[in-house]
Amino acid sequence: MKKKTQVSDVDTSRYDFYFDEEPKDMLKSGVTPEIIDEISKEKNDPEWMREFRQNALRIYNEMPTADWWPPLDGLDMSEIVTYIRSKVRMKNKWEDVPENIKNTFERLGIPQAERESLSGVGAQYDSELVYHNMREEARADGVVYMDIEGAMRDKRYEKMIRDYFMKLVPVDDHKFAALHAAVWSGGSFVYVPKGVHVEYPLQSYFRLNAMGAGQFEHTLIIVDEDAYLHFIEGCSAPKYYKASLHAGCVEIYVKKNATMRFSSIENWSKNMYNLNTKRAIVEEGGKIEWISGSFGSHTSSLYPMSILNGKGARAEFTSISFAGAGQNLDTGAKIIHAAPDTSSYMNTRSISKSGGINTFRSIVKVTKKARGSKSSVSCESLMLDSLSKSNTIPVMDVQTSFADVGHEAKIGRIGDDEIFYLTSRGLSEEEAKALIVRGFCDDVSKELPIEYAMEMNNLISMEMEGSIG
Amino acid sequence: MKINHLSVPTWDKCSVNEVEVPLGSVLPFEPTADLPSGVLAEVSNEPCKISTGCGEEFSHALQNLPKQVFTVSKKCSSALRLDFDFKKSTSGSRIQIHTLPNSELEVVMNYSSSDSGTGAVQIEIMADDNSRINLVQVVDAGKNSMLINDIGMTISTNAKVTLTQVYLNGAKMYGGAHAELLGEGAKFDCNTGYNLKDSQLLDLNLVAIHRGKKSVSDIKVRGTLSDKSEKIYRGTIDFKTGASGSKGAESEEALLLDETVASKTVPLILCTEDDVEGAHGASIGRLDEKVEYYLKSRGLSEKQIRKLMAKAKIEATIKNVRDKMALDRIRELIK
Repeated sequence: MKKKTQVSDVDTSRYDFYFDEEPKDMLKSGVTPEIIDEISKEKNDPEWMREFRQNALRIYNEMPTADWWPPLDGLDMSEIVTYIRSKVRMKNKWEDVPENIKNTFERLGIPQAERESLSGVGAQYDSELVYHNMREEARADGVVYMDIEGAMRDKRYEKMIRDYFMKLVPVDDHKFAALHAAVWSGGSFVYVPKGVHVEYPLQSYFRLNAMGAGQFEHTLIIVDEDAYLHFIEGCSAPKYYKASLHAGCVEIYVKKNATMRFSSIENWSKNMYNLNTKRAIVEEGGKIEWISGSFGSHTSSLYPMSILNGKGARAEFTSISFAGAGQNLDTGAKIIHAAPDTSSYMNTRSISKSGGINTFRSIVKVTKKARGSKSSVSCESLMLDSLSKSNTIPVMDVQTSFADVGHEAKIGRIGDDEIFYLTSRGLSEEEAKALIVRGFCDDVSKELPIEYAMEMNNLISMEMEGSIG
Repeated sequence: MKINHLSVPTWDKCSVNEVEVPLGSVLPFEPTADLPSGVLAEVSNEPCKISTGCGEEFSHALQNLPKQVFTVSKKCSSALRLDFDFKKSTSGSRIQIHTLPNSELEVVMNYSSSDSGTGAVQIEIMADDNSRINLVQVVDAGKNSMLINDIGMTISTNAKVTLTQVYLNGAKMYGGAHAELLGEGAKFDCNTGYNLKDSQLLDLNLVAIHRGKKSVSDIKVRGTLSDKSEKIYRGTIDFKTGASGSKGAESEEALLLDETVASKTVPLILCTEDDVEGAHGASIGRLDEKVEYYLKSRGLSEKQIRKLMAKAKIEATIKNVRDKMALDRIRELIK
């Protein structure tokens, strides 16, 4: 009798903890002009930002939610607290961070990673950054890695922020981009000067610890000509019975011949609505590489977009998502070829189990200006049971004949032939299935930094049982 | 009226979720029918009760037209031929083809029109157990014409529907096909080919829903676009829970011959059953440089190469057509 192999859900218990702390000082829940005003006051926003937030709120109130989005029935915005006052000023030494917050990040392994393998770290706790620091070598090269609100008030960077902030992701891009613009708080600003190759990655870690709250950080990265940066974003939260919301925004400017790698490992708790927006614009000869792992969240709607704006610009998108019980992960990517000789490659893997829903959604658009462009998309989905659901919804829009666009997609389960072959080579069925699933993820995990690849292997823990008898 | 709805909507900005067509009141049109023995023809006023590729709004627009019902009781050696020649006013037809168990029929539908004729046709196919239907559709309409070609199918145990569509002439051509593979071992084999030029528009929505165990679908779309022509291909393979052992594949090859063409492809695979194999492949772009170089080295001009490629796409599409008259007509049209 053939028995099904059991693959466990992604184990997020490591992230599901919180330390006792003083009651949080929260603004009222909901999104009103008065609340937006309060956020502006708390932030000491310049006048242009006050107006910007209020205008964004008007757009948010007028915009409908897109009808193709995954259901957001469990998300009641009147119950979401958009801003939590911080009693802690941002520090640049972990010793100065309050004990309970420091313990949280210690347990997530952030200070250790900083010591061992990073050029700098930013740590956000609820609505505010609590820690930001960077290695002296990077600072000496002129790299700027600081909290974005500080940058906005710093005369050296104020104009840059004003010139770039929410220009790539317009306020009316979608309803939750407008919400982000109205209530954004925290996040990082990165500038890598011309020709600087940042040796170790920078990492921002976002922790949403409060119940029934939202996190709306904004990350703005500018990688100047011929420069290189690897930026890592991590996120997690403990699980509560009430819905939480993450509507952050990432804007990346990759200048001529620069390369940017953006790795994101998302382990939000399963009460989280992750409605994030990420976008990069790449100039001549530049390259953006997105590495994305989606494991947590109740509902995710996340499609990093790459606009290939200069001749020969390139984009790569590599992702893996694992949807278990109760999860609806609607993820993918958008790539716009808007200049000649641009190229793009998408490679995605998804695993659905125990009623989890995975949807891969993409668009590759080749405009009339993009003569000589090439694009290749490969997406594979593994279904581990019939309770689950897996969809692929790709769009290819080609507006010039001087282009080559290819797409391939596969959906299925672990093949009996593969199991048979591996068992004939001496492996048990359990070992064979474990090997196949790891192999299925390998294309993606090999792109991750080694510590994250190991983390991913831990996350997709395998529990095998059963045999053919 | 909105037709050809994508099975699961996506970004509105992509303009692929459906298409708006201007369709006014529709006058009934009865095609010329050449009936082989074993086929019974009747007229019915029953509304369409099955899902079709173009969708409910289109079914509603045609619901008051009389429906010609063809019931097939045996294996027919010759084809049922239906010729549609639409004039200037908007003409519509409803056709139902019902193959009883173990019967078999080839149906050839020829669409033609006056210069600016508008045709709206809905075909319901009911393939009972172990029956076979081979439906061949050839579109050769006027330069300013509009055609909506809508099909709905139910395919029972071990039955097979083979659909061959050749879109050649007509200004605006909309094609929808929806196959419900209900029974165990049900099969749907679809080959759609096109040669588009000038400002022609082809808008397709081809859907295969797997409900029966070990059901098989294969959708192949291929063609060439030149001048300012445009094409949208929406394809869906949907594996429902219980369709274990099923296989579905869809592929598209779009050869773009001029810089001014536009091609959109949206191939969906939806899945709620683990024991299935679903695959999709698409290749959209210009002619491979090596192929072009080889053909030129054999003495072919650019014009001849374009013609050859267009012809090759259609030849690959019509491999399942048995009716000699239909084959001759298609080959004459692509000469």
